[in-house]
Amino acid sequence: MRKIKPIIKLLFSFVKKPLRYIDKLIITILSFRQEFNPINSGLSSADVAESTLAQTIEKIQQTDTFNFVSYNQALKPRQIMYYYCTLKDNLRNQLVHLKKKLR
Amino acid sequence: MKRLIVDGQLFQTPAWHRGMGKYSVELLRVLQTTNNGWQEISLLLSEGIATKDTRLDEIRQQLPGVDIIILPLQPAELDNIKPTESNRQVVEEYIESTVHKDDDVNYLVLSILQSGTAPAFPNLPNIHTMLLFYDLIPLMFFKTYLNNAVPRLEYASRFDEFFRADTYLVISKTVGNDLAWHTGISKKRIHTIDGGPIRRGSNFKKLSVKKPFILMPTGDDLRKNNRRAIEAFALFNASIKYKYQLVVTSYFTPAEQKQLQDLSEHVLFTGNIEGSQLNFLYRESAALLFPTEYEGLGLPILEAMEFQKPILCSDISVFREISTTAMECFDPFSVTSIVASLHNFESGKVLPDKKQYQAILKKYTWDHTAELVKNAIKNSTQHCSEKKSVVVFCPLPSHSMVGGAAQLLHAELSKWAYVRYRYESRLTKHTQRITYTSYTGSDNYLLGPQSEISLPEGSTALYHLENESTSARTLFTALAVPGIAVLYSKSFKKVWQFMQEMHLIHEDRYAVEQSLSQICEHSDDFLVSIVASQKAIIVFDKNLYTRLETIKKQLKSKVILKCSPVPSAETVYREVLPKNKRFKTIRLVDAPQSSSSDPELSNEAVLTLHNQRDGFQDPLQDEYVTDHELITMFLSSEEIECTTDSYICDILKAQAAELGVVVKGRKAGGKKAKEPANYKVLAQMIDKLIEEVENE
Repeated sequence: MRKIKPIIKLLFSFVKKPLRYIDKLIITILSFRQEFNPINSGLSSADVAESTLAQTIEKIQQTDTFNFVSYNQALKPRQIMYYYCTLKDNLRNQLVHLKKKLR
Repeated sequence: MKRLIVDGQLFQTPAWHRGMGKYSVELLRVLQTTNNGWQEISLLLSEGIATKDTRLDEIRQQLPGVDIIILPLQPAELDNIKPTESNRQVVEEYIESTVHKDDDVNYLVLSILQSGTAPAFPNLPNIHTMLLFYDLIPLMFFKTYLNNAVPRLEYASRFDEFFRADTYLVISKTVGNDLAWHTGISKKRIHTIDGGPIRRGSNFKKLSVKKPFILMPTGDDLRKNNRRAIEAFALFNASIKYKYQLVVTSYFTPAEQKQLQDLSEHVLFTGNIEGSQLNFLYRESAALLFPTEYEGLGLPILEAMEFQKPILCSDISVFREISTTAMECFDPFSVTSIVASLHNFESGKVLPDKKQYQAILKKYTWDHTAELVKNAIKNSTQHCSEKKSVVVFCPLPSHSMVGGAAQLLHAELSKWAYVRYRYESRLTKHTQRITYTSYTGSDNYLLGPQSEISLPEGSTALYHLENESTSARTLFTALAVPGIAVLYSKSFKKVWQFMQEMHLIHEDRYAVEQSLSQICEHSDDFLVSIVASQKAIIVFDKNLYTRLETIKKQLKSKVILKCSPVPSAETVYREVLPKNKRFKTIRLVDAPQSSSSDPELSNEAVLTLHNQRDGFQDPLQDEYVTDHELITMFLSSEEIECTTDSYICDILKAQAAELGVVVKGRKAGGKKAKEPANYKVLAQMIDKLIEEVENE
């Protein structure tokens, strides 16, 4: 939360500015996002044979564990992204509402 | 010393004036007067619930000799919906300060689901906890009662405390069955204590009513079926030249009263009345009309029997429990049926059978209830206090049959484990049941792209896996974090596809799994990595068990394999199940079918499987059938036939067999199995597995 707070403050300072500024900010953040990409197990289906069963299982278990751990590690940027997107939608709605009121 | 401590917050709410409050007062009164071995009964009230002094005086007057103690308990409010932890502390402090070490203490909560109150069971050794339970109406009819978010939140948040009781005292066998069917509580913990007519003294206060009249004690509630009853009364009354008046008790909103009044001008609304006025109405009435769709006990029937009046009532389980011959019964959902019953009464075919009435009233006495409470306490056991920690991964119960099964397992699982939930869902507006397990504990959440998949240290993971997208994150976790997997499907190809589509696994991982599958099992069922990764696996199918064993041997894996019959929620009291069947067959089919026959006349009900994971749909309605509707349908048919091989059919077939329905094409398990296949058996199996796994 400590990391997010200054960015939220920044976002709120944009409220008075036109929407394109907010979009610009979002795009900047998007470019920094860290996505979860599952890793390649290094095996091809042709490699899998009865004789190599034990090795294959060991290798894929390593892959599965690695994937699971990195999925959780890549979580924070995803959470922040989700937070921004919701916030952006909220701000957009508020601005539309305000514009209507001003008319 | 033997002590009974009672949480009486119910008395501080409007329920004091209703059936619940009156029932509880009678119960406490009789527990106090009969020799149940309790030297002291204390009634705990809450400081946080605003209560007028007059109410406190009333409570003191009605329950002389009961020690009334006001504790600094907090009420349940929207901004503090579950103050139970702080309340538990207050209650525990009170008990510790007043109870001696060798005292034998029973703790009774009069109502856990009443809004506003926040009862908490003490978590202390040697204190036996009991819950008095009236009905599960909001949960069973959630589409009517819990349609809005706030009431749903208020109601469901109470289930955390609900599962903490050792013993459940239910007011009728029907409620006992409902409790077991909808919450999975094992029948050994459920005890019916019946009840009796409410004592209102022998005063009769006159009310200006035109005689002859038919009395309809009711309430402003859809379930009370007022509309159909008044419609039926209007038709009946018109045909006999408006001979009768219908006297309707209880308060109605002006709008509702006007709408009902428009149906017939010969209806008198009395509003809320005193006990002596009700006595007068019972004495002077020509008959009792009780058209309710569902009732927990139905005290008016017993009261009318006391006054020797003819009784016309709905043909529902709880009334059949009282008697199948003493009352004139009608189908509450049919106006024609109600009219026919009224005509039977008018032509003198419905007469009070005094002998039968007496026999019934002899059974329904408060002394008998006190005896039943005593037996219930004797036959119950306390929860163990040292608990394991289990994290359950399952599809969201609201939208999934497998999730529903996982939810029914909670009652028995939570007896020996602290359970956390990680649900998986998908977008749908259809709800089959309320997810109440999400409110048990404080660490339950829905798995989404933004949520961390985590397991607290020292806990065991329990994976409920089905072959649908709702198991993708569950399987993804299971592959990395070994635990106990419960497999509902025979193949998991779809889940693997979804894992790939959701970018949880790389595409080469899918291909490798496919090759593994072909090498080890010569099929395309994607079971190998599940066997390789898990500590234990529970299956419900013998063929699947054999296949897993083959894979296990090939992999030289140490996984423990168990085969269990498909679990089903128990029926506590078979004797109250309906004997008249409306349908011959219920068919579970794959695709929606156009039915040529008139459903009203047909002796067949059809449920179509709309989507594998969703559940069944009644083709006549654009809604998924709820658990209560399913059970009602099963109970009203002789046999069930399945033309689809979906795995959720197995759950339904097991439940149908448990309810005594003949299952066509069923090989074994369920009813015929030696071990009853209920959720308790499954929970015990899991308990043993956790110990075995830990020892290895």
